[in-house]
Amino acid sequence: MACVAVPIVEGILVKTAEWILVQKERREEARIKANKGEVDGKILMNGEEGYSFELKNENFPEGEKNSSLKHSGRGVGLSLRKKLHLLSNFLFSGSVLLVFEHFWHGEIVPFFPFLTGARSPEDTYTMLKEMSTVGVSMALLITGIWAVYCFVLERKLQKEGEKNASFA
Amino acid sequence: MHLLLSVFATEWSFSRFLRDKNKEYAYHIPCLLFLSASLMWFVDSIFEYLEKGTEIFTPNLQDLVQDGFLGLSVIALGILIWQGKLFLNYLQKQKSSVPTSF
Repeated sequence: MACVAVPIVEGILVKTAEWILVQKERREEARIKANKGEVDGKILMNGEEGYSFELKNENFPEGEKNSSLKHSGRGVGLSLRKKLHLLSNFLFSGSVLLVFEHFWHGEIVPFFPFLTGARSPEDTYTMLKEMSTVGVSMALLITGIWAVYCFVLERKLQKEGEKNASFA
Repeated sequence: MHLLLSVFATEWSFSRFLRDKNKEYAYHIPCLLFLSASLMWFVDSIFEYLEKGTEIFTPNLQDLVQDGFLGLSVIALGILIWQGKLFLNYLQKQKSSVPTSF
């Protein structure tokens, strides 16, 4: 009974965090561009040489190389924004199909109060109990699998970074 | 039954995803959809097992058919979402390939 609400709420929270990070990255990018413009002006005036650093990785498309990758001490890793994007995709994609299943069983209706479990106090109690047990377990399992996947991917990228550094 | 069908759909999409080296058909979308839904239904089944016991392994024919029909509908919805995304990608590609100036 509406246990899917928990992964959806988690997905919304993760998406909000991702949006905040995107705004932060944009501000940072604009600041770097502004600084670079100032530096370029100085180069033109003084004739000094400038150096530009670019993060490169074959796993990511050209457009995302600056935003999705970061230096993490030993090498190149996955940014927090990219990780959160993965988690929100993971949560929302499963939730879409589960919402359909709940709609099929008549647990979600297209009119107020939208959840049949919210019609009477007894049903509400059952619904909340299911959310706190099944829903929370679903969200935890998805988050756990995402954490393991991110850990493995991070290690892989770090190894690739180290390999590239040793070749250079 | 819908859990089983969803697991089979995950297996199919994952095998296609591994074969699609150029990532031309975006197989990661059905893979993510069915994998995530399968995991959630798996948790649901565990709680159902704890509640009802081995009864869930011997459903009657009517429940089996209804659940199978639900599973097939879920797969159809997943495929529809994937195809929709592919179509949008195709339209974007077409739009970007049209020259804007002569």
